[in-house]
Amino acid sequence: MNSQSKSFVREPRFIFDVTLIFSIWLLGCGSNFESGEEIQQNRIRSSSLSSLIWLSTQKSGNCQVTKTQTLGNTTKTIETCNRRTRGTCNVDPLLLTSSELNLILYDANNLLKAQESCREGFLASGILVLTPTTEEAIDSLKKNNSFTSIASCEESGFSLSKPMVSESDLNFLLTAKGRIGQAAERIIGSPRSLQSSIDNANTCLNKILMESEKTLLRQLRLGEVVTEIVKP
Amino acid sequence: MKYVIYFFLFLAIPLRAEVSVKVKVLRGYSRNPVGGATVISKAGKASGLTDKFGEVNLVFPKVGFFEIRVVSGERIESRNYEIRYAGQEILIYLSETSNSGIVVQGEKDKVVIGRYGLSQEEIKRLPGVAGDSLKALQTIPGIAIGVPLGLTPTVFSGAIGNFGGAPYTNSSRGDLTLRGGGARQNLFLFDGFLLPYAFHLGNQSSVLNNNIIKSFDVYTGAFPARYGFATGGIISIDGVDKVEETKSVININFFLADAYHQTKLISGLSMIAGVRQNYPNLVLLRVYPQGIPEDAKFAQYNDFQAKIFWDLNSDHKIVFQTFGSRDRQAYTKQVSSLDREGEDPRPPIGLDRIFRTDGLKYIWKGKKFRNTIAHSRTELNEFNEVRFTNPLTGENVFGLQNRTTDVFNFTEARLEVELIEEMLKWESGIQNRARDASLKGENISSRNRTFQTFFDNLLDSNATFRSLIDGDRVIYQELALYTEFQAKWNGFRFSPGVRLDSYSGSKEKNLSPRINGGYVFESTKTSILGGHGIHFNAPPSIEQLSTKSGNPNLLMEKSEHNTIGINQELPKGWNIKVEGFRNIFENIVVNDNYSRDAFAPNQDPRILVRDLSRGNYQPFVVRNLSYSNSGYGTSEGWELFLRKSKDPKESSGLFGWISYTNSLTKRINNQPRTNSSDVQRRDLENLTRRLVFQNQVGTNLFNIYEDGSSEIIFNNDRMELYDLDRTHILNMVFGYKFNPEWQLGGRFRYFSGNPYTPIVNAQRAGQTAAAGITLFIPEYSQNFNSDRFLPIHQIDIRLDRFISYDWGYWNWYVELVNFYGRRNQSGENFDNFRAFQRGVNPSPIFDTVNSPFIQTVRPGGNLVYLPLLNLGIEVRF
Repeated sequence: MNSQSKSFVREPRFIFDVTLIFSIWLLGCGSNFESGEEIQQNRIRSSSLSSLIWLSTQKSGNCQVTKTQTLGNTTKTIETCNRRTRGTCNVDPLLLTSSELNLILYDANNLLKAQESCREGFLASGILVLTPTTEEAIDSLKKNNSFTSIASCEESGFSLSKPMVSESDLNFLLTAKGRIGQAAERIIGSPRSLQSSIDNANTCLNKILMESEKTLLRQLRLGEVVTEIVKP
Repeated sequence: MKYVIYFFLFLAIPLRAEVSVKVKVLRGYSRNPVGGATVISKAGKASGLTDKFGEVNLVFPKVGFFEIRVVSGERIESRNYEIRYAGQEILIYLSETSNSGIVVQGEKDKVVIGRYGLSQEEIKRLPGVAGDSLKALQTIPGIAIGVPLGLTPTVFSGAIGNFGGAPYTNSSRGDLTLRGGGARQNLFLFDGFLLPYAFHLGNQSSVLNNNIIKSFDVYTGAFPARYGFATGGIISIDGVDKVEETKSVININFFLADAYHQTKLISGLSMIAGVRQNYPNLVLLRVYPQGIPEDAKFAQYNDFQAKIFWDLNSDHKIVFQTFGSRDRQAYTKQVSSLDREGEDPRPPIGLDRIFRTDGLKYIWKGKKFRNTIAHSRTELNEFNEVRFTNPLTGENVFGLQNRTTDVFNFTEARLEVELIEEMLKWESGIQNRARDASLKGENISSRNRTFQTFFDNLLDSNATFRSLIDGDRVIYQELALYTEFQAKWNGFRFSPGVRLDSYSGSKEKNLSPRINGGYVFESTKTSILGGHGIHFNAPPSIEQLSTKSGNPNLLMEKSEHNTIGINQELPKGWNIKVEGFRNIFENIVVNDNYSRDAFAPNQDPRILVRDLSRGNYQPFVVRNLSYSNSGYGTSEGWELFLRKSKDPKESSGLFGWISYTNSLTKRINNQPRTNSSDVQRRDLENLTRRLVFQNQVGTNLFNIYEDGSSEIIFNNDRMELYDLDRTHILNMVFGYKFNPEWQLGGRFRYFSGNPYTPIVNAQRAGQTAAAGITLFIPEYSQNFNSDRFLPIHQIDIRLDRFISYDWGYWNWYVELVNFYGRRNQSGENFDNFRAFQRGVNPSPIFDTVNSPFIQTVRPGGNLVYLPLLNLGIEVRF
């Protein structure tokens, strides 16, 4: 290094700048260095973990419902149990909102467009007379039903003489498909049904339902499975 | 007597004899000899090339004072020397400040791969651009013209697509796209200061005066570590940085007038100023309105630039700079008619867009280093007005004004050091860019009750519209640190660098490598080059980052640029460069209808007002984030750049360049493709359940709802052609100077048409038929971007006549823009009141800005399309 090039390193400003730049570099690199990819991975990991924890709590347990019925001056309390988990052990499944009704009507309409054979099942399902639950009805349902999340119906003293349907089956029964399917099953099981109606109902069930769904509806009709158990 | 004669002959011989002197050219500080430099004395009619010792012998006709000019690379040093005797030795020191003030980095030190540069002399008289030299950017390899921003607010128009109504888009609006990058993902710099946009409204002309541009460099490959805040490319424009003489230039033509002045105020203090006014609406719409196509649009714009240099001494320099631009309202022929005859001249849409950048730069140059500290503030203000009036009743149906402010504060400290002379340089620096963007709706007016209800419903249902009216604001900061070495050893060139970008929005810090290098075979002047770089940039739009209507958690976009190439210098100023590239774009911000925040703060004040009485205000709501970093894309291809520079010693000659790009760019938005009935059912279902978690599994989404139900949103999207993809881009530009008085220039360009999704049919809208109106809804092909518009091609010609005087020169010029009146298609328009008819409806939309034409009628009644004529004069004194 000649004398010319030596001189610049003696410049105080130069030394100041180099020190400043390297200091900021060290600060920048040393402090909480997290790249965009790492942030994205952390977000996914955190969200997945939270979901798992939430699901593990919300999707566990059974639901004990204490129903209070008032007949005149007599108040009667009935305790039932179903497979609803902690997340849905509340009044919500008993309510019907206008959004839910719209969805049922939309699905039913599409089913009818696709399967003319389901028309009788649709008429018998009661979908057409469904109305959203009123504010008063909601208050009444809340007042007359108390919900307790329990570990399991069996452990809480409910004796299972028949198998209970699962929570997903309960949800299915509230859909348009479930409601029409139940009605079609009723038509099939009714001794007063015309053969043509039975044929239509069978066709409808075969076209719109999976095998497991048909089995569920048949077992329900025959009383082989139940949706809830009543404590004697 | 004869002795007397002999005596006088003896005296006379040396007087008439030629004087041979040795000129030695050395570098300023190192005293190293400069070989290969041209040494010229015009008055002495002597010239020569220095040898490896930096020496050349020149023969002068006589003793006396002569100007000697040394040309080395791009440096030109000119001084007067006294030639006193034969055998005299003259030492000329080429100072590093000889050409442009304080310069450490010369042209040869710049990255060669992935960079294209042109100088003022080459671009100033570019044909077909109405005297606007920066439009030469469009002729650089790898650059495709984008879809101009138009009348929408700059900060509020990210991924809004190209063609209205089309079912698919994978691009955003912007002036240029570089090697398949996003049109809003380029960085324009003028003297290192931020240039918010380089072209006026509609890409019509640039915002910089021709004479203030010294040169520009376009980085499309791996950027040097100094450059960031972009994933597409860098357009770095260098302004004139030294005033050697007082000069004024006035340029007037049919479409614009500009003036430029530079002068030395006092010793060490110089200034430059330039202004421009464009008035195409005045000339064309007033003088020959019947010749303008119906959809021709013209803006009225102004721009200015000013610069003050203060050389405190040989080592210290301060530069103050300010530049700005103003764009006002797009005018159409119909609007012009309104202007002349209508009572209310205001058109339905108004725009007033202004930007101004003020910058201060301090440069301290030591013997081996340069230290630059710069700060600039850029403010962009936009005023948009939309007003619809019933043409029959004059009723104000709807009026809305929107004011947008976007402020950038940019600070940079930069240090360049020559560690080992001619072998190793080091550059490092810090940059801080802070942004504060806000917008607000004003003066909303409507006297139409039906519209008021519609407006109210729109406010409730559309968060983006609500943020436009209520106002929105985004503040973020980007801090960058970079360091880079430039090493040379024999023929090897190697520039490793690294850059750290941090972004306050997502609190991420990304370390990105930048490597450029190669080998130069000095014997054949052949260079083999390669480059690789990773680049990051924050999302550009308010709407994308908005906490009200966008996704404030968006990450920085990322791109990887890979380039290899070969450069061959040829004799007589010829140069040929071939490059192959492959760019990968990740984390591209795209419209996303599925990305949601399950617990977003409820920021709608209307909910508070309306629901307080019921007391069921929800502090958290499920909010559609509208945008995500799901986009991905690739671009690959090769480029050719053949260039001929004019010999500066010759007063006549050929110069120009041919650029050709062959590329394929594809994008995928990673958005599920669903049919309308699926979407409708899902929307209905979502009203019955509340989202509690949204997880990402690869590019799929897994939603969990409060009722325990779950949903997988499967990504079935696929790669499609980029909206701005052009397979072939060819530009041929030439200028031939016949003599000092005449110059002819020409430009030919050919681009493949842009891809688009064709309309294949139209359905009659049944519900409107009852009202007596038959509307047709276009039905687009399911094969997105499966067709291309016709290729674009045109020729422009310019003839210049120079008349020189003692005080300067006159330069008359005539331009024939779009010589054969080609109508180049830029889009198509479907008329909803007419049925689909192939070739008729939809009808083509022609680009009347880049390919203007005059339409007139032949005596037989046929339309004929003629080139646009432009006449102008430039006066320099």
